[in-house]
Amino acid sequence: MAPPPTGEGEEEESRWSQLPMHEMEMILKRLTVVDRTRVAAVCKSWQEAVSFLDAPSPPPPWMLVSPGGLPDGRRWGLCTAFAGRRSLGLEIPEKVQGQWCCGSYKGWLLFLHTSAEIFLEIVVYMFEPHPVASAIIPIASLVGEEERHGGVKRRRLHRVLHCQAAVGAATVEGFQGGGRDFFYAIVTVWRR
Amino acid sequence: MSEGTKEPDGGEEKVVLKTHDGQEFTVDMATANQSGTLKNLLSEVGSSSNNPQVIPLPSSITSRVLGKVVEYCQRHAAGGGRRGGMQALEQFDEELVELDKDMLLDVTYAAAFLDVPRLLDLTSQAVADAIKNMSVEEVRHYFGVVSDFTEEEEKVIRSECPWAFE
Repeated sequence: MAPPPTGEGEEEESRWSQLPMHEMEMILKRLTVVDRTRVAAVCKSWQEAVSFLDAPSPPPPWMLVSPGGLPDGRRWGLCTAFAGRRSLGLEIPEKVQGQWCCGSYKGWLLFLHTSAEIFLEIVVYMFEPHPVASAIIPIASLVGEEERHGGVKRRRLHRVLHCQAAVGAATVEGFQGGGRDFFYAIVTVWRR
Repeated sequence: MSEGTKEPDGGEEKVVLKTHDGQEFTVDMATANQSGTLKNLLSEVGSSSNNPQVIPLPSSITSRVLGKVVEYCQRHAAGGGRRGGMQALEQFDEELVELDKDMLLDVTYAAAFLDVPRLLDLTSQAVADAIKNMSVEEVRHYFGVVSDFTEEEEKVIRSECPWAFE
């Protein structure tokens, strides 16, 4: 006996949206952060599943490794060990290659990019180096304003941005001043 | 259905899986042991070829769904050593989960209930592949899920992570 053909009826709606946590986890862990964020926006029960599974758990530390030989920005990679058994390597994505990795938080790496026009603009990226689902998320982009103080020209990136992402939020504050190439940025990232 | 016929396979121990819609699937122990649930159960009660244990299954596992699960378990009980090696087994796995979404959901539930981890991996991957790169509206339409967010909540979600909805 064949089962009755199932259509797009009410029953189907609830069946997919009521997928138990374990089965949801099996699906969600195969998706990228961006896809998971979209899944969370589908309905409340899926939102709950995503927020539950993306809840903070201490991720293994990532190490920056060079395969040896001549220094080559493209060949640097990230490496981590799971359960002490095997290591997983991950190439640094092109978008954040050559950028300044200025911190990490809950498994995310924070990259700061300054454009060629010295400190005219800084862009901050967050990168989740997950071997199955890695994602790069632009957090903030800052453009500075030029100021003159006495005879010294300086660029001051004084906007404070709050850019919310699914993974958390970041405040970026950048300053340029003092000496010619003196620059610093304060970047704070936290998870909601 | 052809999946429901008995499997002649020597005088080994057998077990009968009985679906709610009355179909009986007689499988050998190697096949049944692919399921963690059945393995646990059978280690308690035992079964023999003369007097096979009959295990009734919940109504959610129809004969069509169980047919798929049994097909998977039989093939995997045989392993990669038979019928063309690991490559053929992988191809078998891929083709097994080429299902419409309702059937995919039913097999997912069955794999979870019967505790067949690799089959659950396969169905989960198939669902994930379907979702990948879909917009929120496409996912809702595909799975027939109706949003239970208020308009205000939708707005907040989208403004929080605009990069996900581009």
